[in-house]
Amino acid sequence: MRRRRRLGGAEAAAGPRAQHRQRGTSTALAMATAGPRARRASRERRPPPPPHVTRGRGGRGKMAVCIAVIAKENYPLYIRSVPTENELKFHYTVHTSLDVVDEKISAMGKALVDQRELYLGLLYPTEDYKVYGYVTNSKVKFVMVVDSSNTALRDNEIRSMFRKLHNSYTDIMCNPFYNPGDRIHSRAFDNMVNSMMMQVC
Amino acid sequence: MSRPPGRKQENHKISGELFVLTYGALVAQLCKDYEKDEDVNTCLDRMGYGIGVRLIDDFLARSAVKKCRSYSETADMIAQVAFKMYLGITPTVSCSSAAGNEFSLILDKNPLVDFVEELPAERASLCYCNLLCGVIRGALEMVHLPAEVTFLQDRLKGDAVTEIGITFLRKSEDRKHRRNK
Repeated sequence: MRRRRRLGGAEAAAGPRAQHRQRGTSTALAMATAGPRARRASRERRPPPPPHVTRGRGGRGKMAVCIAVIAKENYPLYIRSVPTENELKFHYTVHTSLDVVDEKISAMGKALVDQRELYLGLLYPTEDYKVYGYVTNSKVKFVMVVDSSNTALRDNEIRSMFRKLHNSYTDIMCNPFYNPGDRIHSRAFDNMVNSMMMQVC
Repeated sequence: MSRPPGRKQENHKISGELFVLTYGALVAQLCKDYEKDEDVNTCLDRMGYGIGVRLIDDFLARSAVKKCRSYSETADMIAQVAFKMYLGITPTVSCSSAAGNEFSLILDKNPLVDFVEELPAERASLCYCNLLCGVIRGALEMVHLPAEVTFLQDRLKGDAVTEIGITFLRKSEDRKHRRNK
């Protein structure tokens, strides 16, 4: 319900980042209002996905395409995507998803504050990707972009991936040489993120 | 200052992480205060020395160890009793000189560097745990066993293990019986 309302008013009163969206909005609107079955059918009618995505689908299914850690002030602390040619698109997707994150936080904040969960769930689907979000109590956001064709990826798997991300992030915070607000340059964090990303040769 | 052993155990369990984080904050602040790594290392060593000269009494009161008759017994005591009591680890001792006054403690697990992955690039020669060297040196000096304690290998700098070298300095009069360590 909330999603449809936001997409309906996307052109009118969208967040500052979403107003830049032009071509993607109409397709997303059509997808969202179509309903889940029609969405899946239209996906099947599409031409077969490029080879690297197929390989991911045959894999273990715990694979993200892009993972980002955003600071409280909404600048990226860490962003890593699968090395395809269109990396900027993932940066843009993450950037626009921050609007949805803010909206979810504020909406839940009006309800009981202590019931707010850290895992935000699916932020929004596009025709190629699904974006999931997670917010810590210190307003650090984790955003994960997952391939839409990866249907084997279940909600609790996404939750466990976010939990791993959160644990690694707290380990980084405990490093005495890390100043909060710096970009993250940790080998252990890189290894953990690599284990979650889709393998592309 | 001496507490019954049971209470000491539960104190360890509660504040282990807090101690590690506090030590990390101490080192990070020293790094901000001093530009050169050598200054930071010296400062840590001096702090450790101050801790060691006071800690030795607590150690002797709690452990009630017998007199150590040789340097190797002293080194074993440091590794198996003192490290176990205060840090919960037991380094292995190896004697590295024919004269019998150089020993090295090899730590396979160092709780102080639990959260530190690697030293920052501009602090390549920082001895992160130099406080430990100062503690050992201060404690030994209070029992009339002057020694030089340094880090021979450091896992944070890329070596395989962390190794602390203790060199007992020979005194002018050669005494057969050493004081209680």
